[in-house]
Amino acid sequence: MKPKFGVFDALLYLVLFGVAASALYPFIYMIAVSLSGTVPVLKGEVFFWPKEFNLNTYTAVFDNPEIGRAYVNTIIYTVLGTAISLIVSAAGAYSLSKRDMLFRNGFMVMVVITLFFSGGMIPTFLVVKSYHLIDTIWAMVLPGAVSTWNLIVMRTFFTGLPQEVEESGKIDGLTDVGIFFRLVLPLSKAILATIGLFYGVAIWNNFFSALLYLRDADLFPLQVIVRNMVLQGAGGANGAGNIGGDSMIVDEALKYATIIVTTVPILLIYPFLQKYFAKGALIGSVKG
Amino acid sequence: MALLRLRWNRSKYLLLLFLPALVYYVMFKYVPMFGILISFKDYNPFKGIWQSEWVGLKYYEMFFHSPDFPKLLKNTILLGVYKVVFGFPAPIILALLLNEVRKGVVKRLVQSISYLPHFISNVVVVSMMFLFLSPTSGLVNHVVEWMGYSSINFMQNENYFRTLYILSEIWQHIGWETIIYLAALSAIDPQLYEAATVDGASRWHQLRHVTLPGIMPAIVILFILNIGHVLDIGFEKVLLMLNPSIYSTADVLSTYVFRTGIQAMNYSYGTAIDLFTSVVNLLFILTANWISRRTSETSLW
Amino acid sequence: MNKKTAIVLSAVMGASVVLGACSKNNNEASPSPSATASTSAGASASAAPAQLKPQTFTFLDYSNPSWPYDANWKIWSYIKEQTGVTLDIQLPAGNLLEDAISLAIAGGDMPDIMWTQEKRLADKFGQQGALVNILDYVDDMPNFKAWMEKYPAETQNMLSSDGKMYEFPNQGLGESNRRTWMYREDVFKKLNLEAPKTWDELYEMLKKLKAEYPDSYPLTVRNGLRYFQDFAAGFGVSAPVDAQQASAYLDSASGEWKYAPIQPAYKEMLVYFNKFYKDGLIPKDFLTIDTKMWQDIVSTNRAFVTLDYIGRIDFYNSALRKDNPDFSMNFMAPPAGPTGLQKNAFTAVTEEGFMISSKSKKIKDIVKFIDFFYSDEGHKLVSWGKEGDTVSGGSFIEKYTDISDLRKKTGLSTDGTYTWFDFDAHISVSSPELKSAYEQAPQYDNDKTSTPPFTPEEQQVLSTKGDSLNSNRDENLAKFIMGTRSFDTWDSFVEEQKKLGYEDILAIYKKADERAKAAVK
Repeated sequence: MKPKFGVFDALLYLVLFGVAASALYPFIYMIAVSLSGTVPVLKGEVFFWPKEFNLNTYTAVFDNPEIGRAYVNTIIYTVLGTAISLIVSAAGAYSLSKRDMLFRNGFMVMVVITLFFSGGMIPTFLVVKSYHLIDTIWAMVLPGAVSTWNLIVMRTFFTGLPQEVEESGKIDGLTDVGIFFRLVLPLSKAILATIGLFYGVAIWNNFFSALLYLRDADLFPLQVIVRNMVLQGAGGANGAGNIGGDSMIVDEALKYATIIVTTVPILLIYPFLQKYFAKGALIGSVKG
Repeated sequence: MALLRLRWNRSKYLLLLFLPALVYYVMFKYVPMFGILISFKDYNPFKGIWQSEWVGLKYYEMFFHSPDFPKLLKNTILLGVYKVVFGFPAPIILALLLNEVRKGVVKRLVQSISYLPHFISNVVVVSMMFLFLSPTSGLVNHVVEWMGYSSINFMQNENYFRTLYILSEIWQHIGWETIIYLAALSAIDPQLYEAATVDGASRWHQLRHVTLPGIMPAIVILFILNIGHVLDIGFEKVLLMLNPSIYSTADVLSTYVFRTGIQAMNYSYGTAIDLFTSVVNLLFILTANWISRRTSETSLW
Repeated sequence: MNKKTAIVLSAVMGASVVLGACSKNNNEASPSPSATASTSAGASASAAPAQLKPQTFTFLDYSNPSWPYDANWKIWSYIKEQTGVTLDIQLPAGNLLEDAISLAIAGGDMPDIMWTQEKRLADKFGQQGALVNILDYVDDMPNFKAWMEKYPAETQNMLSSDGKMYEFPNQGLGESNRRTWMYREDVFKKLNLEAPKTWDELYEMLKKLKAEYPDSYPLTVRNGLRYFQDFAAGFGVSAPVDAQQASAYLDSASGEWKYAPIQPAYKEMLVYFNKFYKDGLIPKDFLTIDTKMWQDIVSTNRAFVTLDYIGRIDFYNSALRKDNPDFSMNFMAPPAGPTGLQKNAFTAVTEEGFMISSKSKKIKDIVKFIDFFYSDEGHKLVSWGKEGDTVSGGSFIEKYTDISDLRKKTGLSTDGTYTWFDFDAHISVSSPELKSAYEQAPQYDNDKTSTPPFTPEEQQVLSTKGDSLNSNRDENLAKFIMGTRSFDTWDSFVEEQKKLGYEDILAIYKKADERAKAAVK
């Protein structure tokens, strides 16, 4: 049975179109500005289409000798970090979803407390330093490996898993570890995809850890380079210092070009994950 | 004793699974927590936290006696409450709407587009707000004038700040936060829908009796977590929007900490205010969790 | 540096070691080879360190995004040639120098030398024990000793509230922070207008400009209320308007510290701005005009009078004459206030300088190294570079398009390379308009009062109690200008400010100032 396309559907599409349009426009604007000549941007004539089309800003971004290495660094941090975060969080969340685990409530309180209390920037730095993680890949991956928020959300999903899964595993003689890896994880693709995306994006955009823990410029991720480029010509405390020739307007276009170049790769990941969100993906696999 | 051994036997593999997370929490969250002490000390980075002098509750008293304390608390709570009231349901509604779309292509397309703004940094978002809302050249005011009204000085009017802040927050994060509900929706058994359709349930009925109950645990947990962050208003965006004409509504705890604690390097004072905020947040989440435990099956612990 | 020069260098260094060997640790008696080239008698003890001991100091420096740090800049090799010192430079990630210093101190691994942009940082960390008190080593710094006698005011301004000195004083480059009124000479000429001489004339002219160009905001400045420090100079009540600073000023007539925003003259100024706002002579969104918007407005011919750093004259002219050859942004004398006062706020100072870690094992060597910067050779070297290489007979050999170009190519006058600076080097790179502006501007200088050094306790009161006072001040200045608060309520505004404790803040300024003056005696 196929319902008709009614008034409700018309309204629905209208609302969704509005949401999509408002979300898309700033990107169109940024792309248009990044591809335009300086004068039309300056006069505020660019709204939708680039005027005086050119690729200068993109050439400038890719001419930066540091950007290639920074790209590689960021990809390494993101892949490695997401893998570690996902495994540790999923295992932790699964065990916390089992009501009969020893000390469960105690652990839960311990985890929740960290949502509210933290040592602050300097103590955390000192501790990470004492572990000798400064200027290593691990400094970008370990200090933020588990997000309590993500952990709790995952736990909620594991709690909702059908009881039969665990029971069938027990019958097959699997331990909880075996059940987790062989049965639970394959059934939880949607939540793994979601939380993996959350972690991945957070690591991709992480600038703060680099700021605190990295001194070696060879280890800098993309976001540090982006920040330096975006700041260029943007002025500091010393206003007189900004006698920067005609670079004064290019920076807006350059800023947007940099943003586009550095966010597009991570944006492209989501569409590939969407298949895991199909209706009934979970149950289908249990029954099948 | 025997009971304990039984439970230990039953949960030893679960504990093994929890071990990596436990190690992480101890090493990276609990060990640095001695830093909280600096709110009770006159912190001197050179001497270090342990050697710094104790001052007791000096910084807490200073904060409570500040003439701005009531204003800051009020602004922060109002902004936080509005954020929960309007910001929390928004992604749920969008997820439910997307769930009603039958054309897969449209659904995926809208999803992928609506989460784009999440990737634009606050600096760029606020600079665009200034651009589009400018009373002289902004697109929005062109429309306002075209409709026969005189242009509105949006960013310099204290009465617009909260609305603008909340709307822009929703705009930035609605698509992103929808993802988690979409994941929840994917876990609903399709047979439930089929059964409902056979019973002749309308779409509205399906929504109320199948869809909503299906994602309710996720909604409740996220709601509790959100309640626990009512007072956490990210300072960056407010600071970017802040200007003297809107101080009376826009100045919040986090911007105050940024000015007096970080910029003026009163680390102890800043930590004291942060700790106060955390305690209030903790009270909120305890209450929310308690209520939720009594009224539904879902709770944090 | 290529291999050949390295060999030559080591030969020179070897020679000087021999020369210096007979008079060990006696810099005053043995003029080094390079010192003979010096002609000025300004510093009697002018001498580069006699032995060029090759050594390396770690140095936490700042890299300005407009001229990012470059290890190949000539300035570093010049410094090495003259002092034997190689600076092992660390840069703060993300350009956050203050955080980097805090972390270095907390982590217990401070570099030998650190650069700061703000004196309050030096005072704070110095009093906590992290930095060397420079005054303890004056005997090791003959050039610096002589320099301090020559520049007593600059020296005194660097003292901390405990009478010690944690940052090396500077002189010369502060001139680049000078701010001034500017106007579009070409547009004024076209409309047969003269630069306004008084605030009333200013008002009339802005109205005429607005009538001619209805889409314009004839007077546009950036950064919210910050430039009210400059505007207020014509009213005799110039004081900082900054979220971090109280608006206190030393009134030259009475010799008393006063609080600016409650003065009747301040109200008069606000009345002008209220009129400007109502008539659309300043942008409606004047509180949120940032650098980019300001540049857009000026460069699209929508602002004709502005106030900013003096170097912006060249910035606009060189960029905008390409499209509009007539474009001319030029120096404008400050319009006279109601009492005939024609003044600009005095902003030609910079607080940037070197600090030395108290934990360094090479303090004695470091102070000798920094002493070089206070010698005549050091002064010339950091301002002009090396004779025959960048400079010849008092002018640069290469033609630099502007100061930024000079900085990017040579590293001269970038962060961490100077203390005592010859500003003529910058002026020589400027356009004729800017040169003339530099000549005219000083005659309108307001009194050169500087903020007295505060104790940590005073600083804490200023930043917490002061914050409430400052927020209330800014909020209400904005309201008076926008007309959302009536001037009829002026008295109650004064009362509010009083309740928030401006008198206590003034008392701190007074006490700190007296303490500083007593310390000098």
